[in-house]
This record gives sequence, C-alpha cells and structure tokens, in this order.
Amino acid sequence: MSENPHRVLHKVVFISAVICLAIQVIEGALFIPLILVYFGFPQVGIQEICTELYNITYQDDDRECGYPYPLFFQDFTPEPDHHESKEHIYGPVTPPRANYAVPGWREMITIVEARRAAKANE
Amino acid sequence: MSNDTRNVSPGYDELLERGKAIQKRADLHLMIGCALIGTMVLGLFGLPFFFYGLWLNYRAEREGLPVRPHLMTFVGCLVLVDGFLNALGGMIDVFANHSLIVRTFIMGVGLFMDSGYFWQYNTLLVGGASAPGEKAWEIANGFVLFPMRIGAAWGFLNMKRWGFQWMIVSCWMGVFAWVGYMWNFTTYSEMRLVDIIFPVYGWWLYNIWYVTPFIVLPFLYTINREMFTDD
Repeated sequence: MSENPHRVLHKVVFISAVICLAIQVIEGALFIPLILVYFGFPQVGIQEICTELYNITYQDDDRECGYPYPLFFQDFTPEPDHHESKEHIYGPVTPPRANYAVPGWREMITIVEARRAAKANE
Repeated sequence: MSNDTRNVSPGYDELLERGKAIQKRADLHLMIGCALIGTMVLGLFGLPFFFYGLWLNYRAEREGLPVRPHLMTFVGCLVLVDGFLNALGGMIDVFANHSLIVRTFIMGVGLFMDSGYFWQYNTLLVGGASAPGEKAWEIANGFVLFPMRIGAAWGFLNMKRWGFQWMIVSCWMGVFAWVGYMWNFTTYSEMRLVDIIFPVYGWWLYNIWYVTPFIVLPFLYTINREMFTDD
C-alpha cells in the first residue's frame, strides 16, 4: 500500500469530523431537555413554558399555547388576528403594508411635470 | 468478481462475506441512530444505536475484516446527522409549528440564541418562524438541500460512485446555503440577535459545528474515487 500524500490533511479532516459529529450528536440529543430544564421543567409543565414564551414574544399575558391544537385548520384567519394588536409596543410585524401611490401607465410624466412646474413657481 | 482468482487465499471469500455482513449490520444501526438523533425529540433513543454501529465497525476493523475505513464512516455519518438534523429542523417548523413540543422547543431555541425563531412566532399564515427570509431558507434547505445530503451520505457510506458524486454536489450546495443563510441572518441581526439569552456567541457556539461542507470537501477531493463502485 502506497503512502497517502494527503496524510496531514486527512488527519485534520478526521479530527474535525469527529469533533463536529460528537457535538452535533450531543446537541441533537440533549438540546430539548436542556431548554426544558432551563425554563423550569418538570416543576413547570411544557404547556406552561410554551404559554409563557408566547406571552414574552407577544408581550401579551393573555396568549395561550392551545393544546391539543386542532389537527386541521378550523378557519384560515391568521392566528394574530384573534388577539389584540400589540404593534404599538413591538413595532410593525412582517410583512408591513406598503401603501404606495403606484403610478399608472406613463403617469410618471404628469407627476414629474407637476413637480417641475412647482419648482419653477418657487 | 467470482471469476477473479487473484489475491485469493484460504478464507478470503469468507472474510469478505463476514466483513460485508458486519458492515451491513453496522450501517443499519448507524442509519437508525442518525435518523433518531436527527429528530431531536427522540435524540436520546438514537444514541445507543449510533454508538453500537460505530463500535461494530471499529471492532471489525480491529479484527482486520475488510470494512469501510473509519475516516469515511465518520465523514459519512457527519453529513448524515447534519442532513437529518437540519432537514427535520426545517420541516417541523414548516409543518408542525403548532404542536406543543415544537412550539416550546423552537421558541426556546429562539429565546436562547436566535430571535428569528422567537420573534412573532406563528404570526404569518404559514406558521413557524416569522423572521424575514427564514421560511425561504427553511424550505430550500429542508426540502431540497438536506434531503439530498442524506441521500448522498447514504450512497457514500455504501461506497457507491453516485454517492461520492452527490456528496461533492451537495457539499457545494451547502457552501452556497451557508453564505446565503449567513447574509440573510446578519442582515436582520438587529432583530435576531438582541434581547436574547445568549446572543452572537451563543449562535456561533451552537451552529459552528454544522460547517460540514467545508470539512468534507477537501477530503472528497483528495481520495481515490476508484474506491467507489460504479453501479
């Protein structure tokens, strides 16, 4: 068997692969328990944690993590529409309404001419 | 192969058969382990399968049986786990965003290190993360790139030529996805990385281990592709 000319590179690849794999496996397996424990599981139930997280993100103490959630859509109204808007606290939610005055076919000419006239009158 | 009489010593065929059988068993355990780890919620149940698969492979190598080199096993498993974790991570956010555990887990992750998964969660008509651009990356990566990487890694672990080729293709797509995702993420950093538990460093500590394309590509370009079978 001939000497591997990429011996050093392959060693680096091996070590990086083992480290990344080990950490991915640990993260994959333990991250959900870690999050639950961080937020106080098991003294606090999963549904209570979920509700509290909703309350934080919507800055609204009345939000609740409904469980069990209906399997199929009951109505197609977006979920936030069921609640009082808090946009005055956290600002606009995507996607914001643009409210453009969209120019029609070659309407730009009238717009620009009006602007030129206004400028000339100054 | 059956007519090839070179290198045939007593017991060679038997060794080959034994190596093949052990490899198959190890791969089955590795696959089940990687898939379970990839579900995250069932991750703990995947660990024993995964380690048993690795151990089977390691033991066979120690016995001198003709099994896949361990470097290749680690590279294949790395891409497999990476693919499963990210594909399922994206899919649960798209499809299961109202289940209790997913809401708790994803919003928890969001509050930990990436507010894109916390801010206005489940606000839009397609639920899940509401961060600008995030849904597009979830769908592009979770439905195209990472399933492709799972398939590629499986073919690669089976030493198929197509697996090797698709590893290269999907690794370059992974480079593309990293660059695109990072720019989208950084563009909205003011919304995604403030007022959370572990800001920037937390995100990097969690995610830097998914740079698999950058680790795997140099390896793929420096191995002998004749090792991979044509079928």
